[in-house]
Amino acid sequence: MPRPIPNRNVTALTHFARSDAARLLAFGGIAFLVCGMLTGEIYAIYISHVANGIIKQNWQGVISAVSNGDMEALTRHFSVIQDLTEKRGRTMNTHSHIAAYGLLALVLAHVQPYLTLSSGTGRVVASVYLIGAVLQVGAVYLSYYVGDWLFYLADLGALLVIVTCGRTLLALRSSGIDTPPLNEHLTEQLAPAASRYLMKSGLLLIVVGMSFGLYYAWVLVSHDEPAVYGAINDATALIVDEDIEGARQQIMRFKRAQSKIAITAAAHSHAIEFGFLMLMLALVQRFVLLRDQWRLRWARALSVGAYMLPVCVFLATRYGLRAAAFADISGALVLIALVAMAFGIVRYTGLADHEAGQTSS
Amino acid sequence: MNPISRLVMLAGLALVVAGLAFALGVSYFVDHEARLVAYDAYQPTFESVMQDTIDSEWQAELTQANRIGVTHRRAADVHTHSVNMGILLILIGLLAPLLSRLKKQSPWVLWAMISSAWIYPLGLLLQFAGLTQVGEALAALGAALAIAALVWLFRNLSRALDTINQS
Repeated sequence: MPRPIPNRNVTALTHFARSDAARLLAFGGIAFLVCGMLTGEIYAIYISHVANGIIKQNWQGVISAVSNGDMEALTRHFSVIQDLTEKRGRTMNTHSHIAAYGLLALVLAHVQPYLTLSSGTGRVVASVYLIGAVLQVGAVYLSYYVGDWLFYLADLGALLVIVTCGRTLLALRSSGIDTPPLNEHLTEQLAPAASRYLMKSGLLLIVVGMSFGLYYAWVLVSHDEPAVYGAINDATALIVDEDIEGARQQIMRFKRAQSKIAITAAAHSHAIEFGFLMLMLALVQRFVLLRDQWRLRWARALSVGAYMLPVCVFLATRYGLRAAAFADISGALVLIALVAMAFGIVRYTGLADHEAGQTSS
Repeated sequence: MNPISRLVMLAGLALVVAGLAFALGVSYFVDHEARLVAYDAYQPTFESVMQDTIDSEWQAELTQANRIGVTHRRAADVHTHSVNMGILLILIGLLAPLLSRLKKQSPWVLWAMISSAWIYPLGLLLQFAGLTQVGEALAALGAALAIAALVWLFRNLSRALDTINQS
Protein backbone atom coordinates (compact mmCIF):
# COMPACT_ATOMS: atom_id res chain seq x y z
CA MET A 1 0.00 0.00 0.00
CA PRO A 2 1.61 3.30 -1.06
CA ARG A 3 2.19 5.69 1.80
CA PRO A 4 2.40 9.46 1.51
CA ILE A 5 5.58 11.38 2.27
CA PRO A 6 5.58 13.00 5.73
CA ASN A 7 4.59 16.50 4.71
CA ARG A 8 2.32 16.80 1.68
CA ASN A 9 2.28 20.59 1.89
CA VAL A 10 5.84 20.96 0.67
CA THR A 11 6.79 20.55 -2.95
CA ALA A 12 9.68 18.32 -3.91
CA LEU A 13 11.77 21.41 -4.54
CA THR A 14 11.35 22.94 -1.10
CA HIS A 15 11.57 19.49 0.46
CA PHE A 16 15.01 19.11 -1.10
CA ALA A 17 16.11 22.50 0.25
CA ARG A 18 14.70 21.99 3.76
CA SER A 19 15.10 18.27 4.41
CA ASP A 20 17.93 17.46 6.81
CA ALA A 21 18.62 14.17 5.06
CA ALA A 22 18.84 15.81 1.63
CA ARG A 23 21.11 18.54 3.01
CA LEU A 24 23.35 16.04 4.78
CA LEU A 25 23.70 13.99 1.62
CA ALA A 26 24.15 16.99 -0.67
CA PHE A 27 26.85 18.68 1.44
CA GLY A 28 28.44 15.34 2.34
CA GLY A 29 28.47 14.42 -1.34
CA ILE A 30 30.10 17.67 -2.39
CA ALA A 31 32.67 17.35 0.44
CA PHE A 32 33.46 13.78 -0.69
CA LEU A 33 33.85 14.95 -4.28
CA VAL A 34 36.20 17.78 -3.27
CA CYS A 35 38.26 15.34 -1.12
CA GLY A 36 38.23 12.79 -3.96
CA MET A 37 39.50 15.35 -6.47
CA LEU A 38 42.22 16.54 -4.08
CA THR A 39 43.30 12.93 -3.48
CA GLY A 40 43.31 12.40 -7.25
CA GLU A 41 45.54 15.44 -7.80
CA ILE A 42 47.94 14.32 -5.03
CA TYR A 43 47.91 10.77 -6.41
CA ALA A 44 48.64 11.92 -9.96
CA ILE A 45 51.36 14.44 -9.09
CA TYR A 46 53.21 12.87 -6.15
CA ILE A 47 52.55 9.13 -6.22
CA SER A 48 51.62 7.68 -9.62
CA HIS A 49 54.39 9.14 -11.80
CA VAL A 50 57.13 8.58 -9.20
CA ALA A 51 56.03 5.04 -8.35
CA ASN A 52 55.73 4.14 -12.04
CA GLY A 53 59.39 5.07 -12.68
CA ILE A 54 60.65 3.06 -9.69
CA ILE A 55 58.49 0.05 -10.60
CA LYS A 56 59.95 0.09 -14.14
CA GLN A 57 63.50 0.12 -12.72
CA ASN A 58 62.70 -2.82 -10.46
CA TRP A 59 61.23 -4.87 -13.31
CA GLN A 60 64.58 -4.35 -15.07
CA GLY A 61 66.20 -5.49 -11.81
CA VAL A 62 64.05 -8.65 -11.87
CA ILE A 63 65.46 -9.53 -15.33
CA SER A 64 69.05 -8.94 -14.14
CA ALA A 65 68.47 -10.98 -10.95
CA VAL A 66 67.08 -13.94 -12.93
CA SER A 67 69.93 -13.83 -15.46
CA ASN A 68 72.50 -13.71 -12.61
CA GLY A 69 70.71 -16.44 -10.62
CA ASP A 70 70.46 -14.08 -7.62
CA MET A 71 67.38 -15.19 -5.65
CA GLU A 72 67.90 -12.58 -2.90
CA ALA A 73 67.91 -9.72 -5.43
CA LEU A 74 64.81 -11.17 -7.14
CA THR A 75 62.90 -11.21 -3.84
CA ARG A 76 64.08 -7.66 -3.06
CA HIS A 77 62.94 -6.28 -6.44
CA PHE A 78 59.54 -8.01 -6.18
CA SER A 79 59.03 -6.66 -2.68
CA VAL A 80 59.68 -3.08 -3.93
CA ILE A 81 57.23 -3.63 -6.82
CA GLN A 82 54.61 -5.06 -4.48
CA ASP A 83 55.07 -2.30 -1.90
CA LEU A 84 54.72 0.51 -4.45
CA THR A 85 51.84 -1.23 -6.22
CA GLU A 86 50.10 -1.55 -2.87
CA LYS A 87 50.69 2.12 -1.97
CA ARG A 88 49.54 3.27 -5.40
CA GLY A 89 46.57 0.90 -5.43
CA ARG A 90 45.28 1.98 -2.02
CA THR A 91 45.62 5.70 -2.84
CA MET A 92 43.83 5.17 -6.16
CA ASN A 93 41.12 3.14 -4.42
CA THR A 94 40.66 5.98 -1.92
CA HIS A 95 40.36 8.51 -4.76
CA SER A 96 37.90 6.49 -6.86
CA HIS A 97 35.77 5.33 -3.92
CA ILE A 98 35.42 8.71 -2.24
CA ALA A 99 34.42 10.33 -5.56
CA ALA A 100 31.92 7.52 -6.26
CA TYR A 101 30.44 7.84 -2.75
CA GLY A 102 30.14 11.59 -3.37
CA LEU A 103 28.22 11.05 -6.62
CA LEU A 104 26.00 8.44 -4.97
CA ALA A 105 25.31 10.76 -2.02
CA LEU A 106 24.27 13.55 -4.40
CA VAL A 107 21.94 11.28 -6.35
CA LEU A 108 20.42 9.95 -3.09
CA ALA A 109 19.87 13.57 -2.00
CA HIS A 110 17.80 14.11 -5.15
CA VAL A 111 15.72 10.99 -4.43
CA GLN A 112 14.86 12.06 -0.82
CA PRO A 113 11.62 13.93 -1.63
CA TYR A 114 10.12 10.74 -3.10
CA LEU A 115 10.82 8.42 -0.15
CA THR A 116 8.38 7.18 2.46
CA LEU A 117 10.74 7.97 5.32
CA SER A 118 10.01 10.19 8.30
CA SER A 119 12.45 13.09 8.67
CA GLY A 120 14.09 11.39 11.68
CA THR A 121 14.61 8.08 9.86
CA GLY A 122 15.79 9.91 6.75
CA ARG A 123 18.37 11.77 8.85
CA VAL A 124 19.60 8.51 10.42
CA VAL A 125 19.84 6.77 7.05
CA ALA A 126 21.77 9.70 5.54
CA SER A 127 24.13 9.87 8.56
CA VAL A 128 24.81 6.12 8.49
CA TYR A 129 25.54 6.35 4.75
CA LEU A 130 28.11 9.12 5.32
CA ILE A 131 29.68 7.30 8.30
CA GLY A 132 29.89 4.05 6.30
CA ALA A 133 31.52 5.82 3.35
CA VAL A 134 34.10 7.58 5.57
CA LEU A 135 34.84 4.30 7.39
CA GLN A 136 35.34 2.35 4.17
CA VAL A 137 37.49 4.95 2.42
CA GLY A 138 39.52 5.86 5.53
CA ALA A 139 40.21 2.21 6.38
CA VAL A 140 41.34 1.40 2.82
CA TYR A 141 43.73 4.38 2.81
CA LEU A 142 45.15 3.76 6.30
CA SER A 143 45.50 -0.01 5.78
CA TYR A 144 48.76 0.58 3.90
CA TYR A 145 50.28 2.42 6.89
CA VAL A 146 48.58 0.60 9.80
CA GLY A 147 47.88 -2.99 8.75
CA ASP A 148 45.66 -5.32 6.75
CA TRP A 149 43.25 -5.82 9.68
CA LEU A 150 41.73 -2.46 8.71
CA PHE A 151 40.21 -4.14 5.66
CA TYR A 152 37.57 -5.63 7.96
CA LEU A 153 36.67 -2.12 9.10
CA ALA A 154 36.45 -1.14 5.41
CA ASP A 155 34.07 -4.07 4.84
CA LEU A 156 31.95 -2.88 7.76
CA GLY A 157 31.80 0.61 6.22
CA ALA A 158 30.77 -0.87 2.86
CA LEU A 159 28.10 -2.95 4.59
CA LEU A 160 26.66 0.21 6.21
CA VAL A 161 26.50 1.88 2.78
CA ILE A 162 24.75 -1.18 1.28
CA VAL A 163 22.22 -1.28 4.15
CA THR A 164 21.38 2.42 3.73
CA CYS A 165 21.02 2.06 -0.06
CA GLY A 166 18.81 -1.00 0.54
CA ARG A 167 16.67 0.98 3.00
CA THR A 168 16.37 3.81 0.47
CA LEU A 169 15.34 1.27 -2.19
CA LEU A 170 12.56 -0.08 0.08
CA ALA A 171 11.38 3.46 0.86
CA LEU A 172 11.26 4.30 -2.84
CA ARG A 173 9.45 1.04 -3.61
CA SER A 174 6.72 1.81 -1.10
CA SER A 175 6.29 5.39 -2.32
CA GLY A 176 3.34 5.89 -4.61
CA ILE A 177 1.06 8.35 -6.29
CA ASP A 178 0.95 10.57 -3.20
CA THR A 179 4.57 11.60 -3.60
CA PRO A 180 5.04 14.99 -5.24
CA PRO A 181 4.86 14.76 -9.04
CA LEU A 182 8.29 15.08 -10.60
CA ASN A 183 7.23 17.21 -13.57
CA GLU A 184 5.58 19.70 -11.18
CA HIS A 185 8.95 21.09 -10.18
CA LEU A 186 11.38 19.94 -12.89
CA THR A 187 10.62 22.94 -15.06
CA GLU A 188 11.29 25.28 -12.14
CA GLN A 189 14.39 23.30 -11.12
CA LEU A 190 15.89 23.57 -14.61
CA ALA A 191 14.88 27.20 -15.16
CA PRO A 192 18.35 28.77 -14.61
CA ALA A 193 20.41 28.98 -17.79
CA ALA A 194 23.30 27.33 -15.93
CA SER A 195 21.09 24.27 -15.27
CA ARG A 196 20.24 23.78 -18.91
CA TYR A 197 23.85 24.34 -19.94
CA LEU A 198 25.14 21.76 -17.44
CA MET A 199 22.38 19.30 -18.35
CA LYS A 200 23.15 19.34 -22.07
CA SER A 201 26.95 19.32 -21.60
CA GLY A 202 26.72 16.53 -19.03
CA LEU A 203 24.49 14.32 -21.18
CA LEU A 204 26.78 14.80 -24.18
CA LEU A 205 29.85 13.96 -22.08
CA ILE A 206 28.21 10.74 -20.85
CA VAL A 207 27.30 9.73 -24.43
CA VAL A 208 30.87 10.44 -25.62
CA GLY A 209 32.40 8.67 -22.59
CA MET A 210 30.23 5.57 -23.06
CA SER A 211 30.88 5.41 -26.82
CA PHE A 212 34.60 5.65 -26.15
CA GLY A 213 34.22 2.95 -23.48
CA LEU A 214 32.55 0.58 -25.95
CA TYR A 215 35.28 1.20 -28.53
CA TYR A 216 38.03 0.74 -25.95
CA ALA A 217 36.45 -2.47 -24.55
CA TRP A 218 36.89 -3.95 -28.04
CA VAL A 219 40.51 -2.70 -28.28
CA LEU A 220 41.21 -4.01 -24.77
CA VAL A 221 39.94 -7.53 -25.43
CA SER A 222 41.31 -7.83 -28.97
CA HIS A 223 44.66 -6.03 -28.60
CA ASP A 224 45.75 -4.46 -25.32
CA GLU A 225 45.24 -7.40 -22.92
CA PRO A 226 46.88 -9.90 -25.31
CA ALA A 227 49.74 -7.37 -25.72
CA VAL A 228 50.34 -7.25 -21.93
CA TYR A 229 50.37 -11.01 -21.51
CA GLY A 230 52.25 -11.57 -24.76
CA ALA A 231 55.00 -9.19 -23.58
CA ILE A 232 55.54 -10.93 -20.24
CA ASN A 233 55.43 -14.36 -21.93
CA ASP A 234 58.07 -13.17 -24.44
CA ALA A 235 60.20 -11.63 -21.68
CA THR A 236 60.24 -14.92 -19.75
CA ALA A 237 60.93 -16.98 -22.87
CA LEU A 238 63.83 -14.68 -23.82
CA ILE A 239 65.40 -15.06 -20.35
CA VAL A 240 65.28 -18.84 -20.82
CA ASP A 241 66.99 -18.34 -24.22
CA GLU A 242 69.57 -16.09 -22.44
CA ASP A 243 68.65 -13.04 -24.58
CA ILE A 244 68.71 -10.59 -21.65
CA GLU A 245 68.54 -7.39 -23.74
CA GLY A 246 65.49 -8.73 -25.59
CA ALA A 247 63.90 -9.65 -22.24
CA ARG A 248 64.48 -6.10 -20.93
CA GLN A 249 62.75 -4.63 -24.00
CA GLN A 250 59.80 -6.98 -23.58
CA ILE A 251 59.40 -6.15 -19.88
CA MET A 252 59.28 -2.44 -20.80
CA ARG A 253 56.63 -3.26 -23.41
CA PHE A 254 54.72 -5.10 -20.66
CA LYS A 255 54.84 -2.03 -18.39
CA ARG A 256 53.90 0.39 -21.19
CA ALA A 257 50.92 -1.77 -22.20
CA GLN A 258 49.75 -1.96 -18.57
CA SER A 259 50.03 1.82 -18.18
CA LYS A 260 48.10 2.35 -21.42
CA ILE A 261 45.22 0.18 -20.16
CA ALA A 262 45.09 2.00 -16.80
CA ILE A 263 45.27 5.50 -18.35
CA THR A 264 42.68 4.81 -21.07
CA ALA A 265 40.28 3.28 -18.54
CA ALA A 266 40.78 6.40 -16.37
CA ALA A 267 39.91 8.68 -19.34
CA HIS A 268 36.68 6.69 -19.93
CA SER A 269 35.61 6.62 -16.26
CA HIS A 270 36.44 10.32 -15.65
CA ALA A 271 34.33 11.38 -18.66
CA ILE A 272 31.29 9.49 -17.38
CA GLU A 273 31.71 10.55 -13.74
CA PHE A 274 32.09 14.22 -14.69
CA GLY A 275 28.99 13.83 -16.87
CA PHE A 276 27.07 12.53 -13.84
CA LEU A 277 28.40 15.40 -11.74
CA MET A 278 27.21 17.94 -14.30
CA LEU A 279 23.70 16.42 -14.39
CA MET A 280 23.46 16.47 -10.59
CA LEU A 281 24.75 20.03 -10.39
CA ALA A 282 22.24 21.03 -13.09
CA LEU A 283 19.46 19.96 -10.72
CA VAL A 284 20.76 22.13 -7.84
CA GLN A 285 21.61 25.35 -9.71
CA ARG A 286 18.30 26.71 -8.45
CA PHE A 287 19.83 26.63 -4.94
CA VAL A 288 23.13 28.27 -5.88
CA LEU A 289 22.61 31.75 -4.46
CA LEU A 290 24.65 33.67 -7.01
CA ARG A 291 23.69 36.01 -9.84
CA ASP A 292 22.60 34.17 -13.04
CA GLN A 293 25.68 35.48 -14.80
CA TRP A 294 28.02 33.97 -12.18
CA ARG A 295 26.12 30.69 -12.04
CA LEU A 296 26.62 30.37 -15.80
CA ARG A 297 30.31 31.31 -15.56
CA TRP A 298 31.01 28.63 -12.97
CA ALA A 299 28.99 26.10 -14.98
CA ARG A 300 31.11 26.89 -18.05
CA ALA A 301 34.36 26.66 -16.06
CA LEU A 302 33.32 23.27 -14.68
CA SER A 303 32.31 22.10 -18.14
CA VAL A 304 35.65 23.13 -19.70
CA GLY A 305 37.56 21.26 -16.97
CA ALA A 306 35.26 18.22 -17.22
CA TYR A 307 35.79 17.92 -20.99
CA MET A 308 39.51 18.70 -20.94
CA LEU A 309 40.51 16.30 -18.17
CA PRO A 310 39.55 12.98 -19.86
CA VAL A 311 41.05 14.18 -23.17
CA CYS A 312 44.34 15.17 -21.48
CA VAL A 313 44.41 11.91 -19.47
CA PHE A 314 44.00 9.96 -22.72
CA LEU A 315 46.70 12.03 -24.46
CA ALA A 316 49.08 11.16 -21.60
CA THR A 317 49.49 7.72 -23.26
CA ARG A 318 51.18 9.57 -26.16
CA TYR A 319 52.59 12.79 -24.77
CA GLY A 320 53.40 11.68 -21.21
CA LEU A 321 53.81 14.22 -18.43
CA ARG A 322 53.01 17.32 -20.54
CA ALA A 323 49.47 16.05 -21.17
CA ALA A 324 49.24 14.84 -17.56
CA ALA A 325 50.05 18.38 -16.35
CA PHE A 326 47.14 19.77 -18.41
CA ALA A 327 44.92 17.04 -16.91
CA ASP A 328 45.93 18.23 -13.42
CA ILE A 329 45.06 21.85 -14.34
CA SER A 330 41.68 20.72 -15.71
CA GLY A 331 40.99 18.82 -12.48
CA ALA A 332 41.82 21.95 -10.49
CA LEU A 333 39.36 23.96 -12.63
CA VAL A 334 36.54 21.48 -11.88
CA LEU A 335 37.46 21.57 -8.19
CA ILE A 336 37.35 25.40 -7.99
CA ALA A 337 34.00 25.59 -9.83
CA LEU A 338 32.53 22.90 -7.57
CA VAL A 339 33.65 24.75 -4.43
CA ALA A 340 32.17 28.01 -5.80
CA MET A 341 28.81 26.29 -6.37
CA ALA A 342 28.95 24.75 -2.88
CA PHE A 343 29.40 28.26 -1.41
CA GLY A 344 26.33 29.41 -3.34
CA ILE A 345 24.29 26.52 -1.92
CA VAL A 346 25.48 27.28 1.64
CA ARG A 347 24.29 30.87 1.17
CA TYR A 348 20.90 29.63 -0.04
CA THR A 349 20.34 27.22 2.87
CA GLY A 350 21.41 29.93 5.33
CA LEU A 351 18.86 32.33 3.86
CA ALA A 352 16.13 29.64 3.84
CA ASP A 353 16.83 28.86 7.52
CA HIS A 354 16.77 32.56 8.40
CA GLU A 355 13.42 33.05 6.64
CA ALA A 356 11.97 29.92 8.26
CA GLY A 357 13.08 31.22 11.68
CA GLN A 358 11.43 34.61 11.07
CA THR A 359 8.18 32.96 9.93
CA SER A 360 7.98 30.69 12.99
CA SER A 361 8.72 33.57 15.40
CA MET B 1 5.10 10.34 -9.30
CA ASN B 2 5.20 9.09 -12.88
CA PRO B 3 5.21 5.22 -12.68
CA ILE B 4 7.90 4.82 -15.35
CA SER B 5 10.15 7.35 -13.55
CA ARG B 6 9.74 5.39 -10.34
CA LEU B 7 10.50 2.12 -12.13
CA VAL B 8 13.70 3.52 -13.69
CA MET B 9 14.84 4.88 -10.32
CA LEU B 10 14.05 1.56 -8.58
CA ALA B 11 15.97 -0.39 -11.23
CA GLY B 12 18.92 2.00 -10.80
CA LEU B 13 18.99 1.83 -7.01
CA ALA B 14 18.70 -1.98 -7.10
CA LEU B 15 21.65 -2.10 -9.53
CA VAL B 16 23.72 0.12 -7.21
CA VAL B 17 22.96 -2.20 -4.27
CA ALA B 18 23.81 -5.29 -6.39
CA GLY B 19 27.12 -3.73 -7.53
CA LEU B 20 28.12 -2.76 -3.98
CA ALA B 21 27.14 -6.19 -2.58
CA PHE B 22 29.14 -7.95 -5.31
CA ALA B 23 32.25 -5.91 -4.47
CA LEU B 24 31.87 -6.58 -0.76
CA GLY B 25 31.48 -10.31 -1.45
CA VAL B 26 34.56 -10.45 -3.68
CA SER B 27 36.72 -8.39 -1.33
CA TYR B 28 35.66 -10.40 1.74
CA PHE B 29 35.62 -13.93 0.29
CA VAL B 30 38.20 -13.71 -2.55
CA ASP B 31 40.76 -11.00 -1.98
CA HIS B 32 41.15 -7.45 -0.77
CA GLU B 33 43.96 -6.26 -2.99
CA ALA B 34 43.44 -7.38 -6.56
CA ARG B 35 46.39 -5.75 -8.28
CA LEU B 36 48.82 -6.81 -5.60
CA VAL B 37 47.77 -10.44 -6.02
CA ALA B 38 48.33 -10.13 -9.77
CA TYR B 39 51.90 -8.88 -9.20
CA ASP B 40 52.55 -11.48 -6.48
CA ALA B 41 51.57 -14.16 -8.95
CA TYR B 42 54.51 -13.39 -11.27
CA GLN B 43 57.20 -14.09 -8.66
CA PRO B 44 56.91 -17.94 -8.77
CA THR B 45 57.28 -17.81 -12.58
CA PHE B 46 60.62 -16.01 -12.38
CA GLU B 47 61.78 -18.24 -9.51
CA SER B 48 60.99 -21.32 -11.66
CA VAL B 49 62.90 -19.85 -14.61
CA MET B 50 65.88 -19.17 -12.34
CA GLN B 51 65.82 -22.73 -11.00
CA ASP B 52 65.91 -24.13 -14.57
CA THR B 53 62.63 -26.00 -14.26
CA ILE B 54 61.09 -27.49 -17.40
CA ASP B 55 59.38 -25.00 -19.73
CA SER B 56 55.87 -26.37 -19.20
CA GLU B 57 56.13 -25.66 -15.46
CA TRP B 58 56.91 -21.93 -15.65
CA GLN B 59 54.54 -21.52 -18.60
CA ALA B 60 51.71 -22.99 -16.51
CA GLU B 61 52.58 -20.60 -13.66
CA LEU B 62 52.63 -17.65 -16.06
CA THR B 63 49.27 -18.61 -17.58
CA GLN B 64 47.84 -18.85 -14.07
CA ALA B 65 49.28 -15.42 -13.13
CA ASN B 66 47.84 -13.83 -16.29
CA ARG B 67 44.45 -15.42 -15.60
CA ILE B 68 44.44 -13.94 -12.08
CA GLY B 69 45.06 -10.48 -13.59
CA VAL B 70 42.15 -10.77 -16.06
CA THR B 71 39.77 -12.18 -13.42
CA HIS B 72 40.49 -9.35 -10.99
CA ARG B 73 40.04 -6.74 -13.71
CA ARG B 74 36.64 -8.21 -14.64
CA ALA B 75 35.58 -8.27 -10.97
CA ALA B 76 36.43 -4.57 -10.63
CA ASP B 77 34.57 -3.88 -13.90
CA VAL B 78 31.40 -5.63 -12.69
CA HIS B 79 31.44 -3.49 -9.52
CA THR B 80 32.16 -0.10 -11.10
CA HIS B 81 29.85 -0.55 -14.09
CA SER B 82 26.95 -1.75 -11.92
CA VAL B 83 27.25 1.26 -9.62
CA ASN B 84 27.72 3.77 -12.46
CA MET B 85 24.91 2.34 -14.60
CA GLY B 86 22.71 2.40 -11.48
CA ILE B 87 23.49 6.09 -10.85
CA LEU B 88 22.77 6.84 -14.53
CA LEU B 89 19.38 5.10 -14.29
CA ILE B 90 18.42 7.08 -11.18
CA LEU B 91 19.34 10.34 -12.94
CA ILE B 92 17.36 9.36 -16.03
CA GLY B 93 14.41 8.45 -13.80
CA LEU B 94 14.53 11.94 -12.28
CA LEU B 95 14.58 13.56 -15.74
CA ALA B 96 12.09 11.21 -17.45
CA PRO B 97 9.00 13.42 -16.88
CA LEU B 98 10.52 15.97 -19.27
CA LEU B 99 10.10 13.42 -22.07
CA SER B 100 6.46 12.61 -21.47
CA ARG B 101 5.28 15.78 -23.17
CA LEU B 102 7.29 15.11 -26.30
CA LYS B 103 7.38 11.51 -27.38
CA LYS B 104 5.12 8.50 -27.16
CA GLN B 105 8.04 6.10 -27.59
CA SER B 106 9.84 7.32 -24.46
CA PRO B 107 8.64 4.36 -22.29
CA TRP B 108 10.21 1.95 -24.82
CA VAL B 109 13.49 3.80 -24.70
CA LEU B 110 13.43 3.85 -20.90
CA TRP B 111 12.80 0.09 -20.89
CA ALA B 112 15.75 -0.32 -23.29
CA MET B 113 17.87 1.79 -20.92
CA ILE B 114 16.90 -0.35 -17.90
CA SER B 115 17.59 -3.60 -19.81
CA SER B 116 20.96 -2.44 -21.13
CA ALA B 117 22.05 -1.14 -17.73
CA TRP B 118 21.52 -4.64 -16.29
CA ILE B 119 22.71 -6.63 -19.33
CA TYR B 120 26.13 -4.92 -19.50
CA PRO B 121 27.34 -5.76 -15.95
CA LEU B 122 25.76 -9.23 -16.34
CA GLY B 123 28.00 -9.79 -19.37
CA LEU B 124 31.02 -8.75 -17.30
CA LEU B 125 29.89 -11.04 -14.47
CA LEU B 126 29.77 -13.99 -16.89
CA GLN B 127 33.32 -13.15 -18.02
CA PHE B 128 34.40 -13.08 -14.36
CA ALA B 129 32.78 -16.51 -13.92
CA GLY B 130 34.79 -17.87 -16.86
CA LEU B 131 32.08 -17.77 -19.57
CA THR B 132 34.19 -15.42 -21.68
CA GLN B 133 32.51 -15.56 -25.11
CA VAL B 134 28.89 -15.42 -23.91
CA GLY B 135 29.91 -12.67 -21.48
CA GLU B 136 31.64 -10.58 -24.16
CA ALA B 137 28.64 -10.90 -26.51
CA LEU B 138 26.21 -9.90 -23.76
CA ALA B 139 28.38 -6.96 -22.64
CA ALA B 140 28.70 -5.70 -26.23
CA LEU B 141 24.92 -5.97 -26.70
CA GLY B 142 24.26 -4.13 -23.43
CA ALA B 143 26.74 -1.36 -24.21
CA ALA B 144 25.43 -0.82 -27.76
CA LEU B 145 21.81 -0.73 -26.53
CA ALA B 146 22.72 1.71 -23.74
CA ILE B 147 24.51 4.06 -26.15
CA ALA B 148 21.60 3.98 -28.65
CA ALA B 149 19.11 4.74 -25.85
CA LEU B 150 21.34 7.49 -24.47
CA VAL B 151 21.71 9.19 -27.86
CA TRP B 152 17.88 9.23 -28.18
CA LEU B 153 17.56 10.57 -24.62
CA PHE B 154 20.19 13.27 -25.23
CA ARG B 155 18.42 14.45 -28.39
CA ASN B 156 14.96 14.55 -26.83
CA LEU B 157 15.97 15.88 -23.43
CA SER B 158 17.83 18.71 -25.21
CA ARG B 159 14.62 19.55 -27.10
CA ALA B 160 12.65 19.46 -23.85
CA LEU B 161 15.19 21.81 -22.26
CA ASP B 162 14.82 24.18 -25.20
CA THR B 163 11.06 24.33 -24.58
CA ILE B 164 11.78 25.32 -20.94
CA ASN B 165 14.06 28.03 -22.27
CA GLN B 166 11.34 29.37 -24.60
CA SER B 167 8.62 29.28 -21.93
